[in-house]
Amino acid sequence: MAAEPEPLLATDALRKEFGGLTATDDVSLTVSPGERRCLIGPNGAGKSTLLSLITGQLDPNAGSIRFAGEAIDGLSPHERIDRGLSVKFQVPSVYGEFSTRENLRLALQRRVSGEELEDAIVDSLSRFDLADEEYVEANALSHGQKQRLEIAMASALDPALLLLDEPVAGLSVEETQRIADLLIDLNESVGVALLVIEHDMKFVRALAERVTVLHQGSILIEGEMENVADDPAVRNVYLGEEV
Amino acid sequence: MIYDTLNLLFQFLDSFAFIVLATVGLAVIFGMMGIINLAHGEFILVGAYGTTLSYGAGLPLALAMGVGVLATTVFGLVLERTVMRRLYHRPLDSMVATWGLSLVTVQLARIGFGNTLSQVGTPLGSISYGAFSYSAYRVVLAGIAVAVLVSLYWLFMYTEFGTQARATMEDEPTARSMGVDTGRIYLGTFGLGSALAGLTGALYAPTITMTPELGASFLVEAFVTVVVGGSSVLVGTSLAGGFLGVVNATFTNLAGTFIGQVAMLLAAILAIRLLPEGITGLIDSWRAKRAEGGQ
Amino acid sequence: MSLRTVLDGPNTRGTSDRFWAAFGLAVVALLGYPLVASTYAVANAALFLLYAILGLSLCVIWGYCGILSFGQVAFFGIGGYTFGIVGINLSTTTGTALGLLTGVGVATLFAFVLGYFMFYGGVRDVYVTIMTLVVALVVHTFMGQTAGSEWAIGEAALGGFDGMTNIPNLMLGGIELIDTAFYYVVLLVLLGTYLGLRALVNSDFGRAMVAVREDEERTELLGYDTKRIKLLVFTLGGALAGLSGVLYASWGNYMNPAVFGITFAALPVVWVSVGGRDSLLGAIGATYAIEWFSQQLSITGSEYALVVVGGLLLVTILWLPKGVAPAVADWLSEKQSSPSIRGHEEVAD
Repeated sequence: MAAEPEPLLATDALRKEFGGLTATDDVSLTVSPGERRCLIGPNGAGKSTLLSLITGQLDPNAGSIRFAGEAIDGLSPHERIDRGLSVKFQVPSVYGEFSTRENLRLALQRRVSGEELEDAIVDSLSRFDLADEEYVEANALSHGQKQRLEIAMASALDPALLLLDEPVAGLSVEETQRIADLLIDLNESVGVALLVIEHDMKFVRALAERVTVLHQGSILIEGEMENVADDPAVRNVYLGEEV
Repeated sequence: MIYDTLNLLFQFLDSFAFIVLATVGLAVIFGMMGIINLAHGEFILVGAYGTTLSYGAGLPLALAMGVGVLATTVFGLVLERTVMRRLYHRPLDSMVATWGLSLVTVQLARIGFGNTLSQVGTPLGSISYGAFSYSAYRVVLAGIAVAVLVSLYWLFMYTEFGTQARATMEDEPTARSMGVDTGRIYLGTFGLGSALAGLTGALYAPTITMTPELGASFLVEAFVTVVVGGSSVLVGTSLAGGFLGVVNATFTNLAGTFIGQVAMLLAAILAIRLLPEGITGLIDSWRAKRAEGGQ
Repeated sequence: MSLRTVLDGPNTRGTSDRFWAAFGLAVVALLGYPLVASTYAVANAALFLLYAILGLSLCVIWGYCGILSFGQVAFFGIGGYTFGIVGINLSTTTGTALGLLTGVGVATLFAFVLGYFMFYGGVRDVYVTIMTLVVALVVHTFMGQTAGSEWAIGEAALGGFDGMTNIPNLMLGGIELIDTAFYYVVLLVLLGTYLGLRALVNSDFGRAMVAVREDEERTELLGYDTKRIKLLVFTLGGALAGLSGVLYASWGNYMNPAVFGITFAALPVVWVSVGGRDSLLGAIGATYAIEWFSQQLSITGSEYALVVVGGLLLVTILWLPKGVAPAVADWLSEKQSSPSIRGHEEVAD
């Protein structure tokens, strides 16, 4: 019997409570290497909490996480990043007083130096179409440019799994398409797995190979977009919204 | 043996009273507004000087203490209107600014009144039991400390001001949208914190040397207690006061003031390590657990 | 790669040729000062310059890493007292050199231990500020009760509130560093510290420091060990404050517990706030100016120096929260006809 390939990320029965509220309830999620996965669900479904549990910003009340063949419970966030995780926050978190170049350099300097660092910055600037903004303070960038810069920083760590929390929130249709193309290109060229939280269903359709639906802290259903969208339970959760 | 026990008990009462009274004005302002008032010691100074000077001018002690509290309250209210209100939501800056205020106040007190004032004598004599004797006034202070905590509990839980103040602390924009005049609440809270610091100064005026730096002698206890107590004024301050009072009394008794202070500091570091949100955080999570269990 | 590429960068304001020309002139003026000034004035200038190192110790941890410490004077005092203890017992050239190393070493270790407990214990923000101040005040209490003869280490009596007297001067090659010689040593140490810190804040590590100041959580999630960064920077701050304290002990041949007191603790905060918390040169300039001014006022017999200093702090926080140096830098760059974007020179070199 051929061994199942080990998943890149596997959470086992993760549970997180805030006061009396259960934000994440018994979530067991696996992501395979190189996979493009979307995590959807209505507001308050526990998507962002799940992400924070994976990055180690929050500690779960119960359950465990394995990443790249190793238990990562109890590791601090930077130790998890070192093992190949990377994250883009919901609110674009770039360093406002740094220039675009300095932001990228901060993300890259731990991995490469000298000529190689210079090349990596130039490469990143052109891949994410920020070359004209190289010396602009990040505070002065448009919302779309900030989103791109943060994705550029997150991918600069050369992760095996990139976690993205609403990468296209507040972007125009063209910019959304652009981000989708960028992410697919990144996934296909370097094989980075993507786990993306997003509300924009068009974007999810364009990007995801599989989707996982979270509802009230638990996984409702998981599968290919077509099957999931037709599921009556999912339709019920979104109550008339077009899925 | 019995004298040792009595001695430790009174030492504890003494420490508890000192810690609670040194802290309560600072804690009200920190808990409600998130501001650590570095001029807290100078608020106490104003209370102590107000009391001593008006006593020297011939007022009876109780009335002189009232003058001290009043002077500190006015001092606090004026500062709130002129300085503090510009610094809300800038906690680090407000600490730095109040330190500037502290330097100015100490030095003006020195210029105005010299290096010492003549002292108010400790009232009420002493109580004794066999060979044991203790200042009655210090026992009264412990009683006042408890009374202050109880009155604050009543004020915050059962009055309209208290309800509005708690709402403002919880969520200022919402409180404002529901018609709470949050500017007035801040003014009131700052005034209350000032009055309490003034009360501390007034009460301790008979027991400490009147120098312009007298405020500094309250700071270690006050800061440590606020750090250990966290942001819940009443529960945090009383429990932290009780806990630190035991630590301080025990170690001061064994090895003197310095070791007492170091023990408090170590207890504080330990408490922060174990309870990142202070005692307040511990209480919150305990409440949450109980609420869940009750469902 | 020229020296300028190491010293210039987006984390320091003065990066133009004109800035370095002015800087050079200022250094020349300071080098020439003893030629025109009295011994008394030179000794005072040395005091202001050694205080500036204490100012820089706060500037680098607060302005560049976001750790507001109110207790830098604790490391300053510990450095000074330790130098005194070693120096009094071994007052030879090697003895005072050993005193210098021990003084800085003990202050550094003390900062490391305190920082370790705070940062790895999860103490943050205002709590760090309060803890550092409380530590200074507790050491103040401790030193105050060391008047008895049991509080002596070898020949060196700690002396309680009367302080420790007869601390020897630093020596170099058998020559005691006093007056002009001491001034030059302090000036060179300050210059070295300033240039070293410039190189540090513009390095990769400096970029990470500033990132911690701006957004600690984000920086952690770029893979940086932010607790370690804070601990290292805080320890460096302790070392610099300790160095300043050693120089102070050698300058006055005297230490007393007032260096741990609340009033002296406020001074570094005043210097750095007024100068501009993220401006190294601003901190140096403000330290010098404020201390010079306070002394001028005291000489005339006025007691208002602390009132003015406290008032200055209040006014700065209320109306010029970023401090004087950044305001001056903005004003100068507005005056230039072609505004260049910060950071450009770095690649142009």
